[in-house]
Amino acid sequence: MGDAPGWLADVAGVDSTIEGVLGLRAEAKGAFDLLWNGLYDPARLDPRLTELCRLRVAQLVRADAELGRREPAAIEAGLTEEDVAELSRWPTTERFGPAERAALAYTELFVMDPSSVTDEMAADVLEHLGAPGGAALSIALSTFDARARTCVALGIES
Amino acid sequence: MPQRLPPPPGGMIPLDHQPELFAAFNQYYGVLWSRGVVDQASKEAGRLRNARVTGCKLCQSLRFGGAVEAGLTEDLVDLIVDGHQESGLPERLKLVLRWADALIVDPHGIDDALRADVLDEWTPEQVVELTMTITSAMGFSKAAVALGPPPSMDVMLVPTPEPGGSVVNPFA
Repeated sequence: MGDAPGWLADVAGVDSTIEGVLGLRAEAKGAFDLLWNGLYDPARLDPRLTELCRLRVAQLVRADAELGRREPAAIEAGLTEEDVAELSRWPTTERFGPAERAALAYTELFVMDPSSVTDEMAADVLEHLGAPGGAALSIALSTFDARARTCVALGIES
Repeated sequence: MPQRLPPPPGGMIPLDHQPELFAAFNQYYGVLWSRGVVDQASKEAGRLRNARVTGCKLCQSLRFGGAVEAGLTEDLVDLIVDGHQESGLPERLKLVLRWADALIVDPHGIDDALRADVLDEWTPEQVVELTMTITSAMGFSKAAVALGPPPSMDVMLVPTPEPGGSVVNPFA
């Protein structure tokens, strides 16, 4: 039992990257990329918040390929490596604001056990992000969780 | 329990608060289902296994037409439960369920034997598609559950998702 980096890429003769492996289904990858890019539209959510949630998903799933990436929109929005270094300590650090904390609390249960999300937790998200923001965050977490697990399962390395 | 985020006026589910983003999800999902290289019954078995593991009543209630046409009967669907490896399911579907369980519960638990079985059954392109289909179904299910458990629903036969359609409102 255990991970096997590059196992599918080696068989397929492609790079062991998200682009290489998922690119084996090019049309689906293209549609996925359009979805992904929409997640970082600042009109929907602050890209810094979005990226913090993506990286928290990656930490929980232990998806190394995801942990090594940074979305440019998030950097432009102010995300720093110091933020990332503190991310797993979000409940106690003062680095993150109320909206980010509400989103990160929701993120953790979304990934681990969505049936454990409470009414209060959801209300906290909606208070800070509004209904459109709550929907956007939910679609984002769906997408992040899906890609993180896909990367681990398929041995994608970066 | 009421939904924690009610749909907007004219919408069906909470994700309709982001119509363009949800449309992008549906486009992706439709491509996976209707322009793919994996048989419909295999993908549907993986989707339904996720629905049961994740506890999404909405996803549990839907049956995609292409899989029914391909022979995924309710008798077979009834076997997509814990203990599926000892069931009377065809071996191909048993493998789908092993793969789905690993993706949903712990993808780090995939071992060499499972990887070998998967490669014996499917091409790399098919492995990618099957994986993306199951994980995207899982993501949608988690959103549906997190935003407020929908009530139990009767089984409903719907067309297989296509690009430009909607997973929850395929008749739109």
